[in-house]
Amino acid sequence: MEAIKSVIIRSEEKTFLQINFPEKEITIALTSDDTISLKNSFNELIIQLKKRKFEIVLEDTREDLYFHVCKEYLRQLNSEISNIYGQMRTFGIIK
Amino acid sequence: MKIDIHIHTRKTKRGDAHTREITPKKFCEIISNSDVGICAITNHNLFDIDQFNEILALKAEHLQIWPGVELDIIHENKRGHLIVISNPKQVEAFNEILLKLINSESPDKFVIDISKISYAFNDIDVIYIAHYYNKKPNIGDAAIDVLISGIKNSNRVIKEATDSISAGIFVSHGHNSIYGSDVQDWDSYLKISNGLPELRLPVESFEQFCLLLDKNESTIQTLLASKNKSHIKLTPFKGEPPIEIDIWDDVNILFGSKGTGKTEILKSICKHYNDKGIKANLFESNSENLIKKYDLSASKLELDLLDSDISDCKEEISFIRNAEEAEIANLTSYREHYSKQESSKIAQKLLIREILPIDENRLSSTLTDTTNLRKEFDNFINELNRNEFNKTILGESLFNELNEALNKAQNHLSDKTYDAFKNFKSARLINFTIKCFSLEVSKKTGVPKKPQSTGFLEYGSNRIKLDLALQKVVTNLKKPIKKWTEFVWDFENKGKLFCVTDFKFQNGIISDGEFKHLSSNTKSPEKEFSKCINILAEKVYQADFFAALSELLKVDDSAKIKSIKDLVLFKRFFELNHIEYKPSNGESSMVLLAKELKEDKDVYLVDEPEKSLGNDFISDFIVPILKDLAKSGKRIVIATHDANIAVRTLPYNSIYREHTHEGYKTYQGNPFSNRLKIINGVDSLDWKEKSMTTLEGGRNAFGERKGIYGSN
Repeated sequence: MEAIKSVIIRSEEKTFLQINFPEKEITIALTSDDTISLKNSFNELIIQLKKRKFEIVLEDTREDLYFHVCKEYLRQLNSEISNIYGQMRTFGIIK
Repeated sequence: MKIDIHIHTRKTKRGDAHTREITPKKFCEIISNSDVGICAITNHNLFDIDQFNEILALKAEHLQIWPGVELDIIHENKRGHLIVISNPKQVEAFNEILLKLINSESPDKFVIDISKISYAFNDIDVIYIAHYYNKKPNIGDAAIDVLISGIKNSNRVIKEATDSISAGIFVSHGHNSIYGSDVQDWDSYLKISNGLPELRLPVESFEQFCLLLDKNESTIQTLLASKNKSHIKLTPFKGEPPIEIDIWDDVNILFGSKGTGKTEILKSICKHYNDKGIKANLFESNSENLIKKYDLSASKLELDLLDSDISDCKEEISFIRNAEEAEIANLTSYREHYSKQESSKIAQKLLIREILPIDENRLSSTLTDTTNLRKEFDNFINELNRNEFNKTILGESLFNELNEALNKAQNHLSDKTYDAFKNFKSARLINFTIKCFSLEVSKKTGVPKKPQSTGFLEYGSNRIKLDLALQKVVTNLKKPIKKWTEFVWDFENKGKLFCVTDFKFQNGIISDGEFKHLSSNTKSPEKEFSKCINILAEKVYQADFFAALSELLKVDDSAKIKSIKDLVLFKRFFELNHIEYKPSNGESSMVLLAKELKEDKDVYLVDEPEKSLGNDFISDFIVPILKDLAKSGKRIVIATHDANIAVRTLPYNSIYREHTHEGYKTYQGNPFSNRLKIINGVDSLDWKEKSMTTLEGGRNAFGERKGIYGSN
């Protein structure tokens, strides 16, 4: 299983979690509730899952609110990614 | 009426019994007291013309006496007997030929090579009857072939059997066969004559008998009483008395001028048989055409996509249509949870809230799959044990072995089902507990509860299912649907004609007006629906997927499309040598009539089959089929104006309709008796005359047969 690094990009305007795939960066906004943007990120995750099994690891040392949010969020997301990968393999849609 | 083709009136050879000798007077007396209506005098190597003429002078009027002789023949050192019977009208010529042939040789010594026979009698009208097989001294097949090779009409060679049983066997093997009395003792003739062949038709002359021989390869079946007739009562015309006619298991021709009610009679015959439970339909050249027969303008077809290995995608289409977006968790709820510190120590100890929920969907589908598989096993085991016959087929040992293995699998599946049920229910309970604790702690502490899931699992599952459903629909829509190809006819000179039904799916871009919809008459919903499905398949992992889905749902009448079968388009057409072809009216009539006659049934009723057909087709194709049907004892009734059909099929039965100043009259008869007798009366007409004057091409048809009918 591939480990995909992610970082928290903090700025005054907005903060987001950036997941760094070799060929693409996927961002998840931490300071807005843009559902469409989040769904687009989910779609991208599914497309990436078609190529390989992966786990997102957080590379951040600042233990602030965003860190805790992302840590928990990625803990849940990784579990769900693993589940979805299992489903994709079952249905034979892994490339 | 019986026929005896082998009679001796003289003891001509040393081996002949003296009881064969008979005077003309006594001969006529005995024959008159029997049922014999036709007899041939066939003495050994001698024709006594004086005795023959004496018999003719004394015979009863109805009796036919034919001149003949029984010759000793030889072929490759093998001797046999051959009867030669002449047309009585040519008795003088026959006598002259024999005098020259025998040339004063004594009957005891006379013998002739079979190769000379045909040459000797070729100028007169004769029938050859060869002693065959167990009729001794017999003539072998090779000798018969020599005889046939030298004569004009092979139908004039018959094989003589010893009795009706032998003759029946020969006939069943395709040999023309007949037998005669070969009388040894005239005192026992009356008794012997009871077993002679019966002519079921009143053959009135040697020529008519030859017509019978020409009728088919095993004509003498006729003599062996194989043809039946049924007497039927019809009421074709309202207000008129019923007509009673005979219908033979053979060709029955209904003829007469136009407007004499032939079609009504045919319809009435059709009704008569249908009322009796015998399936019959009237083939009318006028109303039939290929386009109608093959339903080229079909509006509804029963197509099974599984025949083309295509799924109808019913469930998938329903799933796509009813799809809803899965809810996802906002990051705000995470922020809210972590931005407030939990001060409650008890709450901090409730670590259950930290457990990640278990995927219930996966466990649920495992439970469903296991349960379904177990059900299938249960059904199979029940079916296997329900039918005793299965045990018989498999054999007890294999049956028991199979049952044992199946029961083992069934028990295993029961355990697996229970495990799946347990896992699913416990996961549900754990998820419920996590949710419950989180909610309660949140209420007590005022700290917003932490979301249990990002929503990615639900979202991803939903999109994957949509992806699978759409891929299945799109893949199946790309599959070719098997054409229906039905052989119609083989135009030998042109090629084979097929009726083809071509199918394809409306893929969103087809605008071919020649293709019709299988399920509806409008084209817009199918076309739009297909377009939308293709768009959805591309957008399945895009945020605007559900916007595209709402476009599909907005398509008028799209709700009618429940499966991809509703997207099928079809076109039905004729194809000749793989090219679309439109048969002409003539070809259409030709094919339909031929097909009608090729259908296997007991009764064929055909009205004016000659319409739109050429003479060649009738003579070369239709007439032989009719003869074959007649040979196999089918009932064929044809109303016709065409002499090719009415004469060349040599019908057993001709029904003639006439309209005179006295009204309509119905006559019945046949070419063998040359009479048409009025129904319920005594008047009669000449069959040949009426046929010649009423039928189109009558004179030509008879002209070709002038050897039999006489020149007219």
